[in-house]
Amino acid sequence: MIKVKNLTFRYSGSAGNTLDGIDLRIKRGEWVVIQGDSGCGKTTLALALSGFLYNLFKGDYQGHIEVNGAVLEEMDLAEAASRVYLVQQNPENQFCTLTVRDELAFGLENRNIAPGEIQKRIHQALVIVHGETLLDANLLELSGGEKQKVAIATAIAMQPEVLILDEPTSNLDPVSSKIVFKALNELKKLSGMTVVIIEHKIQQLRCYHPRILKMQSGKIIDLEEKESAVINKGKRNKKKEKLARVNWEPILELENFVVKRQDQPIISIHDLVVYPGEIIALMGPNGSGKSTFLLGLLGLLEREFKLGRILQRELRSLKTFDITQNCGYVFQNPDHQLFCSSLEEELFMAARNFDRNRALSKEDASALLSAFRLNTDLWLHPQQLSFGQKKRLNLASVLVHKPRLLLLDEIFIGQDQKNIDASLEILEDYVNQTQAAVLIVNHYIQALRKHADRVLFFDRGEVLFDVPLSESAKTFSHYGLHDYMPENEQ
Amino acid sequence: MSRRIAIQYRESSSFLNRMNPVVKLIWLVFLSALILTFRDYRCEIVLLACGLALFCLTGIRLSTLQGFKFVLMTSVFLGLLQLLFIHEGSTLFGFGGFFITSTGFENALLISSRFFSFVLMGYIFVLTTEPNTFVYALMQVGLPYRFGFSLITALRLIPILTNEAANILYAQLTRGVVYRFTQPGRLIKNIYQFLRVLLISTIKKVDDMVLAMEGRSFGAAPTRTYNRMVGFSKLDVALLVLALVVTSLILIIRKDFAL
Repeated sequence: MIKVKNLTFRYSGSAGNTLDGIDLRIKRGEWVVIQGDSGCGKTTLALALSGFLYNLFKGDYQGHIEVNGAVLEEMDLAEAASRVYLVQQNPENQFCTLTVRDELAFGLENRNIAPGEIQKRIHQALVIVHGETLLDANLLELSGGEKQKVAIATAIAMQPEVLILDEPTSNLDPVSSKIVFKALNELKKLSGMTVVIIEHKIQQLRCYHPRILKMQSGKIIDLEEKESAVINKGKRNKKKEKLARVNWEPILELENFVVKRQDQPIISIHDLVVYPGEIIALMGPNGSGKSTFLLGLLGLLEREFKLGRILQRELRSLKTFDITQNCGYVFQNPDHQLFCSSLEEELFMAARNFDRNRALSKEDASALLSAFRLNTDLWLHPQQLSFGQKKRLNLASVLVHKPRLLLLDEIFIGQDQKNIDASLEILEDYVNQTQAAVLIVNHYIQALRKHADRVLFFDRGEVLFDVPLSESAKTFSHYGLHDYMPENEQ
Repeated sequence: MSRRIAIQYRESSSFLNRMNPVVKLIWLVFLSALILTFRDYRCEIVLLACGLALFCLTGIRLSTLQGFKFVLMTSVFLGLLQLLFIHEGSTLFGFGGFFITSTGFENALLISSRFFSFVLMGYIFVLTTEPNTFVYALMQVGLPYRFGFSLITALRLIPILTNEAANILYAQLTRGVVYRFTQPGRLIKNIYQFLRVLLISTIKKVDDMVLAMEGRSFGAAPTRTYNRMVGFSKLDVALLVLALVVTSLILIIRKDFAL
């Protein structure tokens, strides 16, 4: 059993408590899901439960945690880690070796376990996650879902009493997410291990009957399952007033468009036309070529095409600099695109480089930040923002130079629905004001269904279908892609 | 056009691939020492021929390797320098003020062969040695495991950070950054921004990796076991003995014949 008593933590240099008097009991063998808005302290709680917070992080730590009768704060990190194992959000960042076999053996070797026993445990762990075929694979060559499976198998092989997973499926498509959740369920059934998952995808987990906890502002506020089932119900598709498109020239026209990486074609699009005012959901499994397509469009990757036009200009005659004047791109990782030392500079960076919209005042900048729920000082360093805030700043900063085509690559990862809705409302206003169009890569249609017009689905480097949103449920069903459909339509 | 082969490990069942990496390293050091030891061009040519024969065992065509032309040109260039600037010895060929001497010719062969042999040894080692196995082999013959895993984590981070660097560069380009050598001030600012973001990203990655390693008891005990054993086959042992015997023989021959 895990007992958390009055746990409070304030990071060194931070004004407020990230964890604020948490009291919690988790029974042995229980499966608990913790949900909550971005920045509410979920990851810090995971770090606390696994002993890292007390041992490695600077700050004011009060209260204590017991795991099966032993006080976590009295253990050194190695002992704490042998009882509680934390799987972090991005599996890529926690692999320490180069192959699956070495990775699974790594922790066991550190504990001086004999090779024979190590091999037995590796085999058992891979069987539980249905990953036996991955044993000799190179970690760099695995898909996102496979990497997460290996991360979970690594944890299983260590045989901890408690397994904690911090948003294990945030980068995964619905099919891969389902596989990961199934593997966890299998683990619970076979080993009786206590599993704590921090996860936004409550709907997909509901069939496994977990106990659902909710966190808000560093507190556990709701220990009963009450509300998550009704998220988004009754909000369905409040369709916006669309811009009249009669006689409007397309923003983007492509024919036989192929993007390559290392001379190999990755994505091939027969034809695609995007009109002003359109918000298009770009969907598909991990590795289906969505990001490659967007980078190819901007000329950042090698591409070939029969016809390519952006705003009536031939793509062939345009350099990346010319294309990006009219195309704003937001990448998946917010840290990759924060180049300046203040929010103000960051907001104006692209506009200054493109010599556009220089007349924007500080008041306008503040208003834009407020609209994105970034009510902070313009002189704040972007790196001081939380993950979700950085993502919203990225989005705000590409709007300033008024691009007509927005390419947004999985920008809603790690964002709660409230922030997703706020961002989409702003995007929709922007589209209506500037006659722009938006291509949003996203794994879940649920998040976009109030705002998207079309669904463009990529599979194995090709467009599987391109349909209006109203027909998407039927089309998903037709292709057997039930995991991509909203829960209430499956 | 056929694709060039990158200078990195290639999976194969060749004899060189199967060799214990530590034995291979000893042979690499041994052959490199030999290449440097000989001062006779005929010996260097024999060594080069041996190197080429060894390379054939990799099953790769030398001319398909990335950068091969550059290596060949450099080798020829080094030889030409000897031909042009060494004027000792008897004249073999002369035209106007330009002449080639026997010493210049011999030195050209010596230096070109020496350089090419070195590169060949490096190629053979890199193309046939899986870096991960190499580090495990080193740890199993006594390299402290903390050093070994610093190498392995570095190997792991190289492709990840290469990918990150590409993404950061793309992010700059999509926001109107242009790298122009004609504007050095701007260029330095852009490079500084790029490196700062890459550094932040790297630190975060390393932080995550530290959590993952500490969470799996890395460093908790002075020793560790190894699931992956990189053993020494009979052939490896024989090759080690052979290295010793050949070294001794060469030292004797060299002393007697002043090669």
